[in-house]
Amino acid sequence: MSSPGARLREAMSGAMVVAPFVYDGFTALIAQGQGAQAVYMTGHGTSAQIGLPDVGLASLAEMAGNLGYIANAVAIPVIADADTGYGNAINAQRTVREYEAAGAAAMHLEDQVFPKRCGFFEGKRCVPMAEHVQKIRAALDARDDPELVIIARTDAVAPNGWDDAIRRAEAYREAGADMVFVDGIKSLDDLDIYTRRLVEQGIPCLYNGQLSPTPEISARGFKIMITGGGHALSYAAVRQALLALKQEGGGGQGRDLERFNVMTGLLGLPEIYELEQRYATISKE
Amino acid sequence: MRRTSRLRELLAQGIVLAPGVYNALFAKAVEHTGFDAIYVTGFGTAARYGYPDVGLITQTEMVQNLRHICHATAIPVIADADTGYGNVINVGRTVREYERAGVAGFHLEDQVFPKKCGFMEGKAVIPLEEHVQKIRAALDARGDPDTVVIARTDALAPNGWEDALTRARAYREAGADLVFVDGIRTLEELDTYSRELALKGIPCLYNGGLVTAEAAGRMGFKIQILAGLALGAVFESATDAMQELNSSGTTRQTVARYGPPVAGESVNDLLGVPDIYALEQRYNTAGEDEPAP
Repeated sequence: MSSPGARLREAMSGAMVVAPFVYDGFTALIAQGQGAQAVYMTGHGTSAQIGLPDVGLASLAEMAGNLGYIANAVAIPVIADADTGYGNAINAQRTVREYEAAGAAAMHLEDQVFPKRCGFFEGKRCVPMAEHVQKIRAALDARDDPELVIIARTDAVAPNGWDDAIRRAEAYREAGADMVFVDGIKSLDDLDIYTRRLVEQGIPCLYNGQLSPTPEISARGFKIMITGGGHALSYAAVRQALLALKQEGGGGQGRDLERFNVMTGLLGLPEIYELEQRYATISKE
Repeated sequence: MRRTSRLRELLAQGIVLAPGVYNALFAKAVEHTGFDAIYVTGFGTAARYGYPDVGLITQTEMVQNLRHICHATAIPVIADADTGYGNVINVGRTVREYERAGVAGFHLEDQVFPKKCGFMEGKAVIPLEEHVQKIRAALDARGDPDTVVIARTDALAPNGWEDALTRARAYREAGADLVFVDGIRTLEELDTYSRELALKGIPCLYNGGLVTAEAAGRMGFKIQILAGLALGAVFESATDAMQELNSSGTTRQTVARYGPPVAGESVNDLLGVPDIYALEQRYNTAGEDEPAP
């Protein structure tokens, strides 16, 4: 069977790949169950589920651990947030090896100073461009599978402006990055600049957001779009259920057998029952 | 006050309603919306790792999740400890690990290892005497005498009420703080549970949403858990978002239906981003020049 990276490359050779945000095995299985071609493991969500804000507190071990669970759970390619690579170029090489072993099809490495922060937070700062070029080179050299997709992300728009972001994206691509990813796109104007100055210049690009529906982003020429509600939507839904319980007191809720069966079906329970039969793990006396 | 003591204080006051979650973010949401206690579901923890609830998730993974949840919150956490992940010796280690993670109470069930979700087909239970020993081992292993030990029986589905009641009484007799008959599907079953145990002076936990906490309290129950609350909300909302993404290319309507972020109540607020910004200022992490005196 072809590698996760090879499968993602094959999917990208057709139309744009839409990868919904997931933060655990369950949300990855839901996305796959609804026909997603790939999933995107969010660092913000991975941090949030262990109770941490997205400011570089979650470690490589925690990120790679979560990636392993997600990649084990689904058959579709996983695109993973690798933050800054958790240190310098040497740390980035270990990150590439750990992510590849965990089953990543693609990963993005950003040019923020370590510890990083969410691409949409205030106060971002970038390392010098030359330093991140070296990190991208190190990451490419560390791949075991040459098909693993290395995506160079720049966070320079907010702190330094578009000209610097363009210069960086071009340099990272020149250094060999398979794709580039300008993060922190806040308006349609930003999206137009991104499209005109990079996508239309033949550089394979990733778009993070939902300023436009997927067909419009695809028509602009992006190769990957990461989007969706992710953990923020899950949190809003859980919060709504908690407030309803608080206000209305609950009650009257029997077992929703249909939902239970769909959920356990996604999680692979029917296959477990089959295996129990095959290996007779429960003795029938 | 220790969380274990706080849970006992709450139990003395009336029924404790504990919504079920499986990660630290949702646990913070429970605390933030004003509940007194958090329930951590094994079904949800397994789902989080991508597995069905059939005993594939290890003690290590359960403890890791509990540690994150307890670090992120201050209210009592009641945790699923499955079968204790082995025999009486394993139970001892499980109790010590759970206590160190910070839980206030946990339940131990009498299924064979590896276990199954209480509502799944094909459950099997170990002999009553064996589980009595596990409950004794758990009580002995506590480092904190206020840690609440809840004995769960799964005997209802495979063996019927008579055996389930015999077991619940024996586990209480062995010293369990509460008992928990799982797999209650109907109001009739809930009535039996109430009449035969909860109203006869045995502190009981009810897992389900057939009645309100107030009604469950009147039926004599001490704890009500809604094990599937967060998992159900995530399943519904994530499925809706995917279907909208497939049909219209965005998830905006789904996001709008669950409400826009509320000021002071966003994910970032709950996770303490404003506190991080304040710390960055205090320690001058950006390395900016000191202002002139």
